[in-house]
Amino acid sequence: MKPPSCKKGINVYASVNALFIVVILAVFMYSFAFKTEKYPIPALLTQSTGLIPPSRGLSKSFSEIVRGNISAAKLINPHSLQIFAFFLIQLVMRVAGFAAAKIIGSPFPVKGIAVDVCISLALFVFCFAPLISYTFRLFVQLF
Amino acid sequence: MDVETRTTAGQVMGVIGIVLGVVSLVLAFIPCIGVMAFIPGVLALTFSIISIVQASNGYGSKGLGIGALIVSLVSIVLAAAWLIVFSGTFAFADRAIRNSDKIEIFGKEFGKAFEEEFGKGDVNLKIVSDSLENSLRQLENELDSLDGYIPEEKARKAGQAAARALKKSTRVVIETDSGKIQFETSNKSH
Repeated sequence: MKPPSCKKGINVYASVNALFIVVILAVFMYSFAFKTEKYPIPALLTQSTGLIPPSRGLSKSFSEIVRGNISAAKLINPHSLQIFAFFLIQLVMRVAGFAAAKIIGSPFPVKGIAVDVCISLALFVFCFAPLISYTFRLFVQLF
Repeated sequence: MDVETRTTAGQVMGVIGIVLGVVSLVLAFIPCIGVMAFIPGVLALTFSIISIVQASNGYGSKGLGIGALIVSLVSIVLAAAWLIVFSGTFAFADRAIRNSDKIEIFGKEFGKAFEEEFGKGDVNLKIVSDSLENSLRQLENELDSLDGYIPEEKARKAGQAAARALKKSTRVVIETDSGKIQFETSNKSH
């Protein structure tokens, strides 16, 4: 059976990159907007269990980083710099990806997307390593 | 000749699904707010299913939808694990709060009964504390087997019974020469 004619669709890779740019900028704006003791996102785990996970104080240290207080951020949460670096590198990668998608057009080469996914995944595992290992260790202990 | 061409069906839903899925996955690895990953995770799952269905019906590519489906499922599994952690903790805390006054009654009754049973003699604290530890471990197992609320009367009786059990579990050896009173545990294994 013949499929219906192909109409001009969205540039998928550009759209994904654009949405991620919005998400990452929202994270930075949130960090910049709040510099108080009371953050809108509570530390639910600490409140309910008393456990102090490696993500404790991440919002506060992100606030310090966007204001340029790197040493203060490191004191609040020692892992905050590498986690913040993930978002920063991703922002650069998404902007570059968006620009490339606009230049090359749709469809974006699958090889390019595969390289992007692999780099992003490796970066995520490296930067989030303390949080990932804590999460799995806790689950192993509890289950 | 029929030419195999792909339409753009399901792509918009797939894009939204993959973005929400990745956001959900990142959230799931932040312990403080891991449980919140449920919201974008479920949304991503919904969008990815719609994307796959639309792609199937409209001869579109299903790759994006399948990718979003996998990412969202992984994040939902992690969020569910966080939910179990949180709900288990809440249940434990709730039980402890509800029974806190009963535990106090238990402690008072235990202390009173303990004094009555043993008097205020010179006792070998190490042996008594070992015996007490055994008794309390037994008691802990008993309390663990109780489901939820502990009635006040039960807490009182448990306190008295624990003191009596401690008395039974020890054998008094009076060394008349030195005048010391020594307690020796008789229940070696439990």
